[in-house]
Amino acid sequence: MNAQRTIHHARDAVWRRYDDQVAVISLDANRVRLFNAVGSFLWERCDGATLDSMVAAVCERFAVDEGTARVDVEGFVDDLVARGLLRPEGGAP
Amino acid sequence: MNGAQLLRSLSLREGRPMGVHLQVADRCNHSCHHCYQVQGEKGELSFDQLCRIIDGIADAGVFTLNVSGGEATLRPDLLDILRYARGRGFAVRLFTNAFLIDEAYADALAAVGLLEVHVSLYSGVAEEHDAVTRVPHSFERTVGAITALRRRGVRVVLKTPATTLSVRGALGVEALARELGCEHQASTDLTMREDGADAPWAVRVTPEELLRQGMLSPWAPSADEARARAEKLEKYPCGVGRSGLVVLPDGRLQACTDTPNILADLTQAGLADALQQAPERELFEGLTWSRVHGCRDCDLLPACHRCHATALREGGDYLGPYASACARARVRYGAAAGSLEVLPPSADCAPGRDPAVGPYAIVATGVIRPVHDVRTPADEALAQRFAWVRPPVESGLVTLRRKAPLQSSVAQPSSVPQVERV
Repeated sequence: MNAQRTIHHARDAVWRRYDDQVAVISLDANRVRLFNAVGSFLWERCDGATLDSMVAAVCERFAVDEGTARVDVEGFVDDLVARGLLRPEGGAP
Repeated sequence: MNGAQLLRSLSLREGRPMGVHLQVADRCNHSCHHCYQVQGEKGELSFDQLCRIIDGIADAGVFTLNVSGGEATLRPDLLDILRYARGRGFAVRLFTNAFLIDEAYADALAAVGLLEVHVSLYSGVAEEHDAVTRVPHSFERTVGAITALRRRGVRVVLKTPATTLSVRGALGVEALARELGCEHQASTDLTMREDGADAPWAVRVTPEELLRQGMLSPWAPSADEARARAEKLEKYPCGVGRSGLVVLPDGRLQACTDTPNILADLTQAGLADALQQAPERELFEGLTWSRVHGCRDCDLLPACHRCHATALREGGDYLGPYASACARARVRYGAAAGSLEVLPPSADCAPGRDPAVGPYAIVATGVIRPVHDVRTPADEALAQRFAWVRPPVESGLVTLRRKAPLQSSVAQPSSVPQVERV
């Protein structure tokens, strides 16, 4: 995905934080997803963020190099876009 | 663990409710025989007042908001209320009889983005449904609305409480649900009316008939009965005070639709503060089967379902056994055993011990004996601290008449989202 596009929570994604975990329900699919600490961190920061800013945030918060963080963040975003929980906006696909 | 259980578990861990029922209308366009509500006496809140209450519920971290009435669609501002709730990040369900939902209204509901619309449909036979609602052509209108919603991809759950007026109902609705692509939830819940009148019970189906209809299943002790009992004792009979919180049309907060004490006035306080300050919180958070005297010592416990509020109104004790639940457990066990014999109460029981109420000991296959209902000092302390759970009989707050045959409530599973762990 284009690193300059912004990511947004999908309208059908309803979520709440429980301690260190975020639970998200997709209204469309009626499925609950429970994120681990890293996934929860990303979910809370991805609404309106670019891929680059998410990678930077992960590197700042967790002990991980940028290359690894980028692969993980891209995988996270791509998966949730495919599942309709995130939507990219702006820029070329 | 399914998605609903997971969310309940996460919410319980943090001491916050998973969901809240918000009753926005104190009126209805149906007049169902079994309805527990008394309408037209509470009054309704304005849109702005409801928004402030919704804000408070959102601030408390609640996940799902079930918007109901009375009949919620009678409010001209219902769509605005639903949109506001969605804007506050809730997964919103609408509970309705769908009588007023036409094609345009279905368009608007689809645009709001609801988790589900729950529709009461009492029978697959039009005449039976109309007999329950006492509104001619209500079946036709409701099924038309369901069809309109489904055409727009709105998830619809059909709910069918069993009544004597709709004996062919459950099977017919189940087939209709399949045809329309809806989930179906049959239930045997019929509770007394809010004012204590037992009119809804005039249409209650007997346990024997529920068994014949397949709405109750035979039960026999399992090979590892001790484990089954231990597991059940740790479970909650229902979601009262946790996932079943109800905001009445005037903003008062109840622990469930049927538990009659008022926890707070949400026009005056946000939900989180109200719960924090409600002494009953301690009661509801610990209200597993192990807190229910009599039931916890009964050999039929694994066969049992209960409604605390029905226990209060039927037997005068919110935390004790009551006849209609016991009757259903006996019927389930008798069906599995082939027959059931109830022996005289054990010698340690008080004179006049009612054999229609547990606890029971299974003394041989198909043979049970009523045994002593042990109340511990902790039970008594709880009843003293929360006097409403066992009010004095002379207070007139409860109806102690027993009607035979009786039945209790069965908690039906709510729609169950799947879980994915990431």
